[in-house]
Amino acid sequence: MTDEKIIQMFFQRKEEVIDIVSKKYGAYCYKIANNILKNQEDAEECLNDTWLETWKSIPPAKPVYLNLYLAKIVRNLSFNRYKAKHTKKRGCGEIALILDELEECIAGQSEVEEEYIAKELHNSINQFAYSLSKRDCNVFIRRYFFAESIQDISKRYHISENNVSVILNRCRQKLKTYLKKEGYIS
Amino acid sequence: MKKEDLFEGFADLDDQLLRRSEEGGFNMSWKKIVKWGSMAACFVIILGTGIHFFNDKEMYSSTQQNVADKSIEPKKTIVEKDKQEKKYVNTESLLAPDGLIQKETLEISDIQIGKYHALYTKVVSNDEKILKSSIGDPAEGTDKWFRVSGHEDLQYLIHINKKDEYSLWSFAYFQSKEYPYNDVLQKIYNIYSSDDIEKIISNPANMDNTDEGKRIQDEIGTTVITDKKDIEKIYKILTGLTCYGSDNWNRIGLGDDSETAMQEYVRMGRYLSLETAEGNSIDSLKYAGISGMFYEYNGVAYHKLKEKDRKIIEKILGIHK
Repeated sequence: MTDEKIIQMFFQRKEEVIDIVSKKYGAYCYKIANNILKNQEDAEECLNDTWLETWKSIPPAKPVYLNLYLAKIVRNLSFNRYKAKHTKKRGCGEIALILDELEECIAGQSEVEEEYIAKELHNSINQFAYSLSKRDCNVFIRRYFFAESIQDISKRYHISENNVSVILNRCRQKLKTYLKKEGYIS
Repeated sequence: MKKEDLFEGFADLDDQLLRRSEEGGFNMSWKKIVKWGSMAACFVIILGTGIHFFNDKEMYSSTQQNVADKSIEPKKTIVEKDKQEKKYVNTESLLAPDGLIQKETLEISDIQIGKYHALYTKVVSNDEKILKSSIGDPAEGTDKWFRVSGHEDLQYLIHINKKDEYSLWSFAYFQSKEYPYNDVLQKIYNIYSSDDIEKIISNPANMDNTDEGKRIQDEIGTTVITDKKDIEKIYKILTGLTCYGSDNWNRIGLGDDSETAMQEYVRMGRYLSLETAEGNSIDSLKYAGISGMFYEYNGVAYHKLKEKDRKIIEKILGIHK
């Protein structure tokens, strides 16, 4: 079934659409949830929450790319769950590595208000991503949006794991410089 | 801001960017193209159809590329979606073969890069057709200067003049009395960390080509530095260097022209080539052990190394007093 048809069913409030969307995008969303949570049970629960959230948000939302819309929802829900489970201790798996990598970029942060940060950071990261070359940007997004492992990125783009690491390292250096320039860190 | 906030900052990336990353598959790297191209070329030769390619370098070069393209057909099906990705061109393929004497007089050009006036010199290049097919993205703020296809760095630029003629130019230095070498590494060579350097090749200084000078050079030989820690140490020292621009031979202090001074210079000098992870070769840096400083062609001088850094560099490069 096409995405247009699926979205139409959401608009028509046909409940069977949940089953259809979970069959079509279940594996895709599970991969993202599991990249972040590294726990089958938690990932599956997040999927159920994702279908529910999608049901609640369409309409009024009418996504152009349904898979990416779902990806954003499942990513947010999974990360919220991750944070709830690891409020005090460091988590494990790929996400812990990813967060450690991102921590490199924010060393020496300034006193910018957190509310301002949350509002503006999305725009800034978008702008930064557009400033990267296509290749670097793709690798950067697979790692920090989809939380994919270096091995998976290497396979996806047919480049060596070392090359992926080099690209990510360079992107982080650039991001740090960019965040400094934008006033997020001092 | 916490690391978690930064991760969440990626939550609303544009669909266009996310969709592009889903497509997957880059063009093969030039190394692979050369490797597969060579294998495919050998196959053609075995079939007895490609013998003449070796007699005509230009034809061989273009044929090799075509064969290489065919050899990666399975991957190209993925890449088809990604036609805007510019093919990586190895800059070495743009340079004229060794030994070709430049008939033209030295041509220099001044290009604005960020806050700097960067000086580029014209280099002897391969056929103009190859340059034409190797045009990459334009250098920011210019309309007639282009990167080499697939490159983000500005080490080499291709220029198109008013007569629509193509020429290749190489970065020399910034026209400034004083600037951090880290700006050169980042803005020109696109090197942001030691991971961007795959290896460093150290050759003996070859300014003395007398029998004794050559004997010393042979004794020193070529060293290839691949140890990540050593590369990191060198990178760290390079990023801290201050460059003083050209025509600073007095500051470099290579000593006099006497035979013994020249031999000592060879013994204590090294010519470095930084080989980047992206496949570029940066061979402008030289180290003079007798004065404890880096320098470049045109008398581009750097500040004298601190004793601690000097020891680190000389230990890695195998320079013994």
